[in-house]
Amino acid sequence: MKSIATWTFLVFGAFMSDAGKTYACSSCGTGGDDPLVLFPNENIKTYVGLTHGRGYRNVLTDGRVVANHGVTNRQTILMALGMRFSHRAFITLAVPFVTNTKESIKEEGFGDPNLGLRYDFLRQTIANPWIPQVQAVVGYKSGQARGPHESRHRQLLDVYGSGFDEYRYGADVWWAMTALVGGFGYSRTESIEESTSVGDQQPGTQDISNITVGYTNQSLKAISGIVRKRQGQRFAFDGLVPQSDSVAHSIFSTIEIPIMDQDFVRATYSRGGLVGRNSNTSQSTNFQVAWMRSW
Amino acid sequence: MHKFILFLTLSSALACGPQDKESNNQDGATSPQEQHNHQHDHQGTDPANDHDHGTDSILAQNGTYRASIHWMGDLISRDDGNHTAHVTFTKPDGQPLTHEDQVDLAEFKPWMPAHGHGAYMGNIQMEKTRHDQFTVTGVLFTMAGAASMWEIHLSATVNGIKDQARIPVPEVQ
Repeated sequence: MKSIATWTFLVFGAFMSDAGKTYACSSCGTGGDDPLVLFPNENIKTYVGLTHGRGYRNVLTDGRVVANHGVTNRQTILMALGMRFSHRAFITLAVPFVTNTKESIKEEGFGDPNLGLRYDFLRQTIANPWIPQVQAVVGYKSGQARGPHESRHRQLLDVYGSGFDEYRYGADVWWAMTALVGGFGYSRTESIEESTSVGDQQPGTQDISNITVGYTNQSLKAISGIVRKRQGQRFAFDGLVPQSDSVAHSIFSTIEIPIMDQDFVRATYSRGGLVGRNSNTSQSTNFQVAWMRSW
Repeated sequence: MHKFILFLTLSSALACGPQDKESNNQDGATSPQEQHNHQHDHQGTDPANDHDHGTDSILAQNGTYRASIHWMGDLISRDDGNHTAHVTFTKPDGQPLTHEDQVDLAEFKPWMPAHGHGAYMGNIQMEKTRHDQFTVTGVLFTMAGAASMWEIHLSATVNGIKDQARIPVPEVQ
């Protein structure tokens, strides 16, 4: 514990030691589940990202970690497009293509398309450097891809999405007027009930919160954060399924490098289900590289 | 956990690299020589009130022209997203352009070099109000930091030659 405290001090010491020398902001928003957040001057932005996930293990209801007999590796190509239609608002559309692998078996298909809208409820201004940006966030994810309850594969290799239509709403607070930047976000995701051959089913309400801190200058930005996902009990077979609620914490760290005024390259490392108390979820380690271009 | 914290530390160390890459020594920005040689160019601007303030005349990157920006009103305390500026062009040596000189302003882009992004430009309108001057309205500064944090990236064509200039937004008390 002492060692962790020492490292934490060193990390934030490094951030703070340079904080007064430059001013730089990160992406204008914590991001959360959205891969794409537009800067104020950007009208259109494209995103292509490749994520490699591995190390999947199951976390039981009591927190015990056991082997996962399903997917061992997952590659996701995420294509996203963002469009601004006012100085306060923009929409994003993201479509993943997922490849699940277990030993020599491979299954692949498109995931759920995800539509998002961000509106600057409170805008940063030249008049006051201490006013943060506050965005209202809403989104809709169409359950086009096969979910776990629809799987035809014994080891769920053909699962590329949740299998349910989802909508979400929340807020994102971001402040970036010094080299040390940060923010936090909260969103709630509700799934729409679906009739299946074994009765109506509906995943529980999901609350996602994140805290992000980072350091940026004009040639690079480094951001890290923690994301907490808590999902309520699932509804199935005319009742709530006992012990189907879950809690998962993940941590991430991202480095983003701007190339000229239009292009950005981003690398992200994240680990899910490996910090804090986790329950009824899975562990994984993910590496991601992404390229963005704006107009 | 230790590996993650180590990763964070390395990230921050990398982030603490050389800064001010787009510092004032680049062409078109305010170099020390420019600061020394600057000329206040208020010719042609019509002071509307006591809060008006202008910037130094800046030589374009390829030396095609000089340009200065004269802001109307109280720049830093306004938050209506509708700042107005007069952009005045002169010859590279500071002499006024004549009526025979052809000048066209193609872009007026607010930009924050340290942040790597600019401001929303959807409301910006540019109108030629004199043979050597344009009035730009609808300028929105989406973050604080007029004091050397904002620049205006100009793109203009003078007598058929296109050139760019970076003009800092002045500090206003």
